[in-house]
Amino acid sequence: MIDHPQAAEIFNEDEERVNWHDKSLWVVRQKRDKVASNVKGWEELRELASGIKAHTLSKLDEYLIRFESQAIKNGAKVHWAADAEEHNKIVFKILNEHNAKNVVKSKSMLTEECGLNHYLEKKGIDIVDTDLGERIVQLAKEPPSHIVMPAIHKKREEIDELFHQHLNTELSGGDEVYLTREARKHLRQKFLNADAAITGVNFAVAETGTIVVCTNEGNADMGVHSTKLHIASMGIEKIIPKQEHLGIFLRLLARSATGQPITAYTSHFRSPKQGNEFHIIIVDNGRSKHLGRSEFRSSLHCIRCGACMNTCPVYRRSGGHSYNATIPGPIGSILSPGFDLNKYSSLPFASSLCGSCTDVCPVKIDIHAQLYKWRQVIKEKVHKDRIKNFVIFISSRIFAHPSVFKLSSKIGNLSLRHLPQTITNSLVKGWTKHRMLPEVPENTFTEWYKENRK
Amino acid sequence: MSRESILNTIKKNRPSFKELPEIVYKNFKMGNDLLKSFVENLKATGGEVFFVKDKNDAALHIKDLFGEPGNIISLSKGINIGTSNPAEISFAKELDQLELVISDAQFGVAENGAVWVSEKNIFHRVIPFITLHLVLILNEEQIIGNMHEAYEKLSSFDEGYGAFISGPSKTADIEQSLVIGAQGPLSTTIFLIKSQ
Repeated sequence: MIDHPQAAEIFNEDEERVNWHDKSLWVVRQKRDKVASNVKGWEELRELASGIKAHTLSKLDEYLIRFESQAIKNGAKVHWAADAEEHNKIVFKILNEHNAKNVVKSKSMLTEECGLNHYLEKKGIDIVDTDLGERIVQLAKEPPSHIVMPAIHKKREEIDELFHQHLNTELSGGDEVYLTREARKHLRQKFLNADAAITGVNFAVAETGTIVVCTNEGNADMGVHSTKLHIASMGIEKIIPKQEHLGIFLRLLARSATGQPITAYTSHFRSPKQGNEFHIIIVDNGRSKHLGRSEFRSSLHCIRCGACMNTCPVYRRSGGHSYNATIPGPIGSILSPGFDLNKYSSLPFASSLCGSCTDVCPVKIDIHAQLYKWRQVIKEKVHKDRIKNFVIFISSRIFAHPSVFKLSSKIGNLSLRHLPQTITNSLVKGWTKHRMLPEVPENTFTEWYKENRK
Repeated sequence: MSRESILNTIKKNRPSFKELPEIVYKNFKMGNDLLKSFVENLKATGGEVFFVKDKNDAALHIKDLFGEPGNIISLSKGINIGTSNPAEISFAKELDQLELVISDAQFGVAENGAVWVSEKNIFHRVIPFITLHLVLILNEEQIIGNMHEAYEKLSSFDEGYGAFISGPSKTADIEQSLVIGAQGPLSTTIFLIKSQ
């Protein structure tokens, strides 16, 4: 597997695309700033959201049990899955019991994490992602590159070609209205012929057993209400204690995500329609273990708004796919190492530690601090970057001995001034790719100090 | 059983008890011109809004706006222009050609232009989503300030399904270009009945 720097390098081969990607996301960040600044008490909302999540985690088992019993009372069936495999098996078992072959799914990063589509396809089930962006990446056989805008990396001409190939549309030069209408027709047929609908969960309310799903396209509702079987998959961290807490989180979510005051649809599913079935799968998949990492557990506050991605200078210029993780960007870079430290060891380094992610996070996760802490863990446990470690080792020796330091700073000074740039640059390979080495004064600082401060 | 092992691991790993923060709702109270905010925010979502005298007036406006579409469901008492009876429908498929739905909504939220509808308004849950055009009617005094007030109103909500609807369905998944009308209605229009 290639790591983040390698993947980012590939993305950066097309400079024009990088600039375009960067700009598209920055526009979303600016929209977020505008709507957030219009809300009286925005910072207080963030503080409350963070506090409610921290409280919830401190009693998470009790709230899950409460949620379960309320949901059962409402007529839902509740399942528990320890990992992705168990989750997928449960979904298939339910579908199989209903002889459901055609399934429509609305956006759910959890089912991405579990690799559900692939699993069900192998079992002969036609599973269709119904969010337009997700449908686009599904047809392109790619994972989403952003958790809120799954096809943000795709240019209109590419989508035009993709639809032409798969949906028999005319080539339109990428006309967004035409393509959206064609997708609507295509998906409408999928909804009306579906046997079951799968959705994610934005919030699960412990006191009422309600799940809340937010969409702009109306696709979750179209799916659920067109079929007799609804399966909702949620991570254990989606729980909030009370219904009134929805007021806090919903005010933050869409504003942080896309700069809208609320999504077009905020649907509250409490009981199935008479004669229908409503299944809720509560999934752990490493979350309960992560809860035990005191320095990192607040990453479980995440409500998946994607604001940290939109603001991140590294994400914007390296693209979501370069992270090679279900959740890309800053939040993905602190969640993924908890799943697999070796596989994701390059991600905490995919940051300038500027802290912008922390500043925009609606639930106040100290993302940049956790990125930094993961780096310490990785240095300790992975030892992957031998060159970096070697440099640190040598530096520590140099700095420990004043005479060695003086000598080496003189050598450095002379080399930088007199050796040709091709050689000096090659000594710090990589670093000089987009940077110039500084111009060097005639004397080292120590020499200058001796002359001027006698 | 995974249930027990998950709950046990959580119990073992959860942090020490943290108090639930107290929410002081008056800190978020909005200004007085709620109607103005509601209209502005609704328009920003791509929704339309009209003030009318009463339901008869609304019916006239609807005719002006939509002409005489072939397939209408009216769920709003007093607006009798429906052509289909929702009670006779049992599958979403039968609603595929639905052009216009008129329904009552319960209240509107000024801060985001959303209105609340629940099962008792919409009969079949799919109806406000599958229709081409959606009209929702409410009294102007049903406009409240923010989402905190909304959940205060919903504190005894016990129906199986309810939703905030804020404007028409939409997407910006193609190069962030906004397109109104994704998988749900192409338009959402709110009629506000003026207080007498």
